[in-house]
Amino acid sequence: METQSRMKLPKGNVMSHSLPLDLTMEILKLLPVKTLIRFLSVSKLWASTIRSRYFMKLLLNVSLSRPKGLLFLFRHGYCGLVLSQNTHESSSFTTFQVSCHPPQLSTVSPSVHGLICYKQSTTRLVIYNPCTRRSITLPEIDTRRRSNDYYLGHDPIDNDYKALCIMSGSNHDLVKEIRVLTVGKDNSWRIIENSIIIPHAPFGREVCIRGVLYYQAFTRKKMSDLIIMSFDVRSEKFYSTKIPITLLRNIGTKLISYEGKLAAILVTETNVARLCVLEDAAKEEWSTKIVVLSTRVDPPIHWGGQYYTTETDTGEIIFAPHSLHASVLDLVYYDIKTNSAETVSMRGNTTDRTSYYTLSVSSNLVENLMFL
Amino acid sequence: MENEKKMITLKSSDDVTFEVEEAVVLESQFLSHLVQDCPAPEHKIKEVTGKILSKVVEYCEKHVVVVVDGGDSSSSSGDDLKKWDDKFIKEMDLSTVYDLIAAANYLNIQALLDLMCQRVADVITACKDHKEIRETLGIVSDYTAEEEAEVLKENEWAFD
Repeated sequence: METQSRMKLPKGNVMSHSLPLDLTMEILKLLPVKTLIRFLSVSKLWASTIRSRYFMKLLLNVSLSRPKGLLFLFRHGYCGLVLSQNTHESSSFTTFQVSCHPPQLSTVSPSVHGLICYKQSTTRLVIYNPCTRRSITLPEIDTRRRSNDYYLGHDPIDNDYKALCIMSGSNHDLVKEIRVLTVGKDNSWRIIENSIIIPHAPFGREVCIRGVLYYQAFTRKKMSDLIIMSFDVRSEKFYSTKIPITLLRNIGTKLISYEGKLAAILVTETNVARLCVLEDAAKEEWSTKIVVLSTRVDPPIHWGGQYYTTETDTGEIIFAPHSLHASVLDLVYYDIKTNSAETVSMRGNTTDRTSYYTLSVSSNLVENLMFL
Repeated sequence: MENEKKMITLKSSDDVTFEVEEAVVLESQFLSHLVQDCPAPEHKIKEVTGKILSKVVEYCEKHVVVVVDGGDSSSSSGDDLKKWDDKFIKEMDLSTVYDLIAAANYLNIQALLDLMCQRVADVITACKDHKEIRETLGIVSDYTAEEEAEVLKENEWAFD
């Protein structure tokens, strides 16, 4: 940043020069979202350009092609961002309070392209974009006192986000009804035809990869009947895939994205990571990699043995502390490909020694202009 | 390497001519198609002035030489090229940068387009507020004072 601030353009006769809009967007798409937000106050033309659906999609595609950042959610409605993991050392860490946060910020889905989804009340969901610090409240849903699971998915073709509400009779009961809502477009939740959906009871966290949302589910009330449900966000159709036997159908299995493919990972207490990657979705072919974490993962002592993990698309397991100060963030990166660990310290945006307590961490943060 | 290098003449909108090797022309997608489709010794580029075309030629000549020389893709040639690029853009005023963006886009030279767009993006990122952006880019605001105050208030956090 120091070198950038010193760079000044020699003053030329710039007033008579302007670029066509498509070339202007080529420049704007290289800017961080925070800079673009400063730009909104420059002129109405710039503001409407930055807010256009076309530009939003352009910027999202640039962000998706870059290394992903980290998104932390903390207790008491705070949020933390590490915008790019490009170089593990040079990243910095920003913490701030989520506007209009509920007393306890509990997300109901992990981040999808940087957006998070949380419950404002039992019948109202909020989708929040930490990059723009804006949110929208979704139309109320008539829950009929059922137990609901919520998921958020993205359709990359229309750049639409869709929220999915899966209603069951009670916890771990089979699905009674499924509703969907296109964020920012639908005024009410639409019911998805029931006859086409196989009976299942969802559990665990979702992952959304290239327009398909995956989550785990029981088909009956037995552990042995685990499947992976997939929801094609664009066509709104459901499919199911068997979970590979090598994962022992363990409830601790997490669905992740690995090199752009669906994968399931299970790290046991004996430091063995089992990684199954869906190589061919049509043939349901999985490859299995078993890694004994050879360099013992030793999170710093001051973490008190409490930490969270998140897995990156490039095959790293990131260990994050349960509690931390806003001024500094220590992380341990474990690369399962090379079997090596690295501890990284990031500087915070404040010297404040306030403590934050982690609720979740996800490693798929991308810069997104939604809701601006 | 063949001893005889094929030369091509490029003529700008204001009739300034540049004699360049064919390999240099091939840096531009637009020109390589043009040379293939129409094998004339001279090509007029009506959309680009001599001043800008000289910059384009300078850039392409440097980049083609380094790629050929650094066949073993040693990292030092990459670093040298980056240094050269930095120097190339350093003294350029904004109107030249804009003209080069338009020319690189028209001639379809992706690396030059990326370099120039990144240059403007870096300059914008270094601006601390909307006023500095306006001044640097020569943008006239169409906000009323009230509207501007409102937009600023809404996005206050982005200015810290």
